[in-house]
Amino acid sequence: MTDGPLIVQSDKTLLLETDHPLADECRRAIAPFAELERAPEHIHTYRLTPLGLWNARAAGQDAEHVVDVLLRYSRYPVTHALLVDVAETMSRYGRMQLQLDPVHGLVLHAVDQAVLEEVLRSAKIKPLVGARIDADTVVVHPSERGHMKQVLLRLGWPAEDLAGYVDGESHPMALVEDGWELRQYQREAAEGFWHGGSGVVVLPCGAGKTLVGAAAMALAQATTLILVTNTVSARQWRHELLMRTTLTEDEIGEYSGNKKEVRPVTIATYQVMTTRRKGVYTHLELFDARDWGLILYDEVHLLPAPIFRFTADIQARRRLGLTATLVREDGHEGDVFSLIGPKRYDVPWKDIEAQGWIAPADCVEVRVTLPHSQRLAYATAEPEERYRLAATADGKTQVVEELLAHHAGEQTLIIGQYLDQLHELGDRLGVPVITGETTVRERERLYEEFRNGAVKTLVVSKVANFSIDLPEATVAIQISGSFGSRQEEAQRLGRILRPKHDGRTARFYAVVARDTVDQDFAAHRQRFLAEQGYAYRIIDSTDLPPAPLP
Amino acid sequence: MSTQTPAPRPRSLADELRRRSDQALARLLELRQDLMHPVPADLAALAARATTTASTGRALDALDRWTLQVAEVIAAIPDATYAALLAALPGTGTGAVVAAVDHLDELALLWRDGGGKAKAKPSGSIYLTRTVRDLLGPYPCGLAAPSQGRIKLARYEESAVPDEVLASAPAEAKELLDRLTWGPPIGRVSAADRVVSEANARTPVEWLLSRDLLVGDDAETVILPRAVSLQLRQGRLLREPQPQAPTLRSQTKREPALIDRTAGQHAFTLVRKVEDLLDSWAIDPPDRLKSGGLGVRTLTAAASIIDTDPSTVALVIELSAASGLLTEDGEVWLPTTNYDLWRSWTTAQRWAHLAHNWFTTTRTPALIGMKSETGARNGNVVNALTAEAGRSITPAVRAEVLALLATVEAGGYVDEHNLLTVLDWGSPRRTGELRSALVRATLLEAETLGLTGLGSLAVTGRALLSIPDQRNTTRSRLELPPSELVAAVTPLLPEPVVHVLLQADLTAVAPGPLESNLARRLALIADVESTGGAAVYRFSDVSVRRGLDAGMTQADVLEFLTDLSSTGVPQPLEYLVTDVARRHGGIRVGLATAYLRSDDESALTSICADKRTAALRPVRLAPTVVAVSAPLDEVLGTLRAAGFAPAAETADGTVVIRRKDSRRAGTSSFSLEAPRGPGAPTGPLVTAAVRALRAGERASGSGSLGPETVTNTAVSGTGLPRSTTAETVAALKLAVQASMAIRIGYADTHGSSTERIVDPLQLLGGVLTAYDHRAAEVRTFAATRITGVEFIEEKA
Repeated sequence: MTDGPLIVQSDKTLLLETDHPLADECRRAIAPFAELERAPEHIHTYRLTPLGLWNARAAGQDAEHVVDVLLRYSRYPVTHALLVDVAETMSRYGRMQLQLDPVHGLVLHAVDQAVLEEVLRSAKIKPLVGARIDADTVVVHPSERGHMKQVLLRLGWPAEDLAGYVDGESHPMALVEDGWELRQYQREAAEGFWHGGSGVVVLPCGAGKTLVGAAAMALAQATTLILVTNTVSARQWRHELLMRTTLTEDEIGEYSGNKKEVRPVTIATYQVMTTRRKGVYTHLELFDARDWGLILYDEVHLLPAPIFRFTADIQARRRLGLTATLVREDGHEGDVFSLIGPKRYDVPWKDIEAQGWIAPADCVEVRVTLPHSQRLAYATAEPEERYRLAATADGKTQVVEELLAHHAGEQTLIIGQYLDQLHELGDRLGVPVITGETTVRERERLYEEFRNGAVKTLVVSKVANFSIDLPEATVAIQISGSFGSRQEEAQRLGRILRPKHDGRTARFYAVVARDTVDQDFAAHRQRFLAEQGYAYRIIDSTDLPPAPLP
Repeated sequence: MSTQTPAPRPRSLADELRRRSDQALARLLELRQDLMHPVPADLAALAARATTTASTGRALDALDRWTLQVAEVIAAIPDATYAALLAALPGTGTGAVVAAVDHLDELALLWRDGGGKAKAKPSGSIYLTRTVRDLLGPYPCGLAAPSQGRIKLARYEESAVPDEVLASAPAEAKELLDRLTWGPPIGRVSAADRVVSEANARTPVEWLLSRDLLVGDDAETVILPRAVSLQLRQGRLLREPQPQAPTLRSQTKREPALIDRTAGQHAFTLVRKVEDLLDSWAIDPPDRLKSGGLGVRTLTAAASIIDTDPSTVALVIELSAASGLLTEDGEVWLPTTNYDLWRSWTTAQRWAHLAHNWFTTTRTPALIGMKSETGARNGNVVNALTAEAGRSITPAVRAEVLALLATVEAGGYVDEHNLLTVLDWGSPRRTGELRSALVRATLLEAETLGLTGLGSLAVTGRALLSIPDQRNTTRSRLELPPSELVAAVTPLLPEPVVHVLLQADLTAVAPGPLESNLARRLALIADVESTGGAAVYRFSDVSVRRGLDAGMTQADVLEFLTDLSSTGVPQPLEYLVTDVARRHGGIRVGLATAYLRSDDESALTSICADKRTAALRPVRLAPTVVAVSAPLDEVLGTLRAAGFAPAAETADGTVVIRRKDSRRAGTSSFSLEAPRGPGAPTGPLVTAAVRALRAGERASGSGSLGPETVTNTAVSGTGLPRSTTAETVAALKLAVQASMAIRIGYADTHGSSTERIVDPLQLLGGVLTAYDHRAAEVRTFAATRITGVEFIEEKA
């Protein structure tokens, strides 16, 4: 026991020594209740959060089990206070239950009457509840089911939602597994979700989240509304569903800026859903357009606020969230927990990479030294102009050229933030450029050409961050990014992580200007990569290898 | 003095004490130590002292619930005898009752026929002292006194209240009766003495009054007659007799080894925290408040220095001060020179010193941050390191709690509630907010100190309890802590690690407590991100720059990291260090006290070259600027002497930088210990006190005289010993050699003689030094004034 792989810190982080013989066993034991915070080479850091513990509680684990795991694998004694806190936090979940009463409809039932009294005293709860039925039960307005869960979570008494789901309009479908089959983790993820009723599945980019969605639809056998980030992504979902399932063209509708089809399976974009006309979200009625049996949220960490609000109103429908990360830059993790549901499945990137489902990646930061004149311009610039100045430094173009020469013949994506920089680069390299201004048709054509190898290199803006399947890209060169968003880095890396037919390592270059905020932002983004276990190297632009790699 | 009670009593308490054996007297003095300070002149005085309210109150406070219950019952039954007492406490066991009475007797809170600890006679009367009765209040057991002839009160004494009367009582009246049944049996109403008949009774009170179930005691008080109370209680005097102490139930049981290891971990952490805080304070001493103590903000800052919560930091600070490691020095608080000595010890010794001092100090960190209840600062928040943060009872509570925990099997866990129940039984008159708070604090602090692990007593805690001498050890000189404590903790302390894991995300993880020196160096170039079993450090440009500022070079940092890392230095970290080092020092800052500027470059050149101005240590910063390191007036003087004609400028831009040194305060007798009663007397002291009492008795004759000082006239009646001077000196010599008690006659400066009984200690230069029994102190007597000597048959 004194040589366990786990070290429990007083700030509720868990340090897991990866080289330890028991590390894998321990990882499996703690993953259900602790959030992986970072996973660099030697020590992985997990964190015990109330949400994580409640997720575990929702998955049927009790405090005794969690305490037992901590004690079993811990190298050093665990402080009493921490164990007590774990038990206390976990015991808070489920003291309040949302139930369906045959007479009164939706009710809030308290396992612990004192908690109900405390909760009812809150001014935020008062407008959500109706008459008191008995000492332990109070009527909840059916429309406030989601809102109720949000407020209860904020009060620290997360409710267990036992009120069930409507079946929705039945619509049979099945997976067509010809020449491919659902990977084990995909199947587990879909089943984990189905068992839990509603919730979020966390899988890295490139791990086949679309198929998890399709598998969930096959389990639901009902009409489905799929919400995705943009039109391109919507087309890809459609493409994938047509290929992998019994669904036909007529059964799948697209609800986007151009088309407004409502069919048994409808794919809508966040953008169209949140379009307002005279201050009214005119398209939100899509949620009520059919009796949906399942609502799928792609990239749930990007779910915009209006969709959250509306999701609160459709708590009786099954909801599945798909995402690569639960980290939201806006800190709305709690809303995902209460409105979509607890985390139902989760596999670390590195595990999937080890299984060969995503390509290993090599991350390199290339530092460009600014010439004296530019340094002076940078030093005297207004603070808000500085990043732009640094990010669009001329020296970067040359580095990109060298890198392209180095990786000649490989499918390469060049990703950037500033449009003029991208266009300039495209012109200079003679390479097509895709930005938000590029028409969908044009985009699809270029992506298709890239996929079949007709186009070797593409310059893309941030439109390419999400849900575009470019399996053959092996090199990504990032020349500018938004202000150090960790989530963006993950998405961009995800572009090149699809497994390669020859199993080669993907390369991810970030070109940054030395001694500027560009470098600081890059450090922030790359901290995320390092935390995910992608050791990155730093090289100087003058040290770039002159000859192509073998 | 001797207690007189209204009823005719066979004897007084003083008489009873006279009958006691030396052993019994010694026992009394041991149990009620306050009686010994000072030793009373004789047994009558002892009886008087024992029956003061203060002393009796103290004795009652120390009683457990059962003994107190028995005392109450004795007070509640008129003319108590054993038989009556046993009858009043059915089902509690004769043994328990007799034991309780014996204990009360031992404490001289009661006396009885037959005296002493003779076998209980059923008919023997038992008398509580008047003071005990007073302190137990007017309604012992919640019962009103017997009617004593008052007709209304006596109405139901002969014949019980008819059932139908009780049955017909309105609900509110019944409720009222229920409230009064178990006492206190009085209620306040207006016009309690009104006359109401059954017919015109309107309110519940009137209903009861009209049937004499309540009786107006005076104009504002109604009382439930004793007979009615007893009938409603079915004759029981106690609602719930508790002859047995509640037991501590061990709720969960854990591996004792796990508990010990947890304790060891905490012990280690505590020592580290004390070192971290005092090291930091040695450089940046915190200000002492005008009113003394440490401000709230300083406390918060200290908590962030050692990354802990406010209650732990309060403990660390108070413990440091109580252990002689921290003291006030003028306007600030500083580590003492003893701190350096302490630092030189092993971790186990350092911990043992802290733990031992915690056990004995009256400092009570739990009070810090609470509202003060007493003194001039009433209502203000109690600050750390002030007298308000001390309580005399704290060491007793700590000892009591740990001792109780020790009664649980090893590894067993008892929760606070269970513990408090048992403690409350043990001393029910001491319960209260403060006690509960102290018990809670004791449990928390014991955990922080590593005396308990996961809430159960560890071997460290048991070792602490086994140390015989538990006096506070705050002295100016530090002594090595008790070896048993050191031995207990040594195998539990985690082994410090000497390597860390460096990772590409710019963190370093020490998978265990890092060796102290390494930890300090690493903390210089990296920020501590989380602590616990391991320590996580994060490197950033700010943290690396801090290391460079402190004098490390790029090579130093990288070399240190290479040595420290068991996995090599990851490239991003190397880049970070190199990057920061490259930019470090691009701008130079120096210290100068004055500058010279002149458009005449050659004049400045000559100043720099001139031998006479060398003392100014001029540094040419630019062709037209020279910095010098000397005060302005000295610069002016030197330059003028060298033949220049300088003019002073306004002092804009003069930089004054105070270099901060690690400081120490001299060891002082500084102590914040709260006043405490004298400690437990040693056996010989008690024996001597008994002897003194006996001698006092003899001196005051039959003892019926009683007054504390025997007057001249009184003594002349009994006859002072008389002997010649030569005989006197010879007898004194003999008495000193044989250490025999003697009776002497002693003439004071006014010529009147008194009689003293003394234990001679030495005779030197015509002066006898001896312990004077009556004065209860060592005094000197001029041999020439001693009128006579008489040996007392008692053996010394």
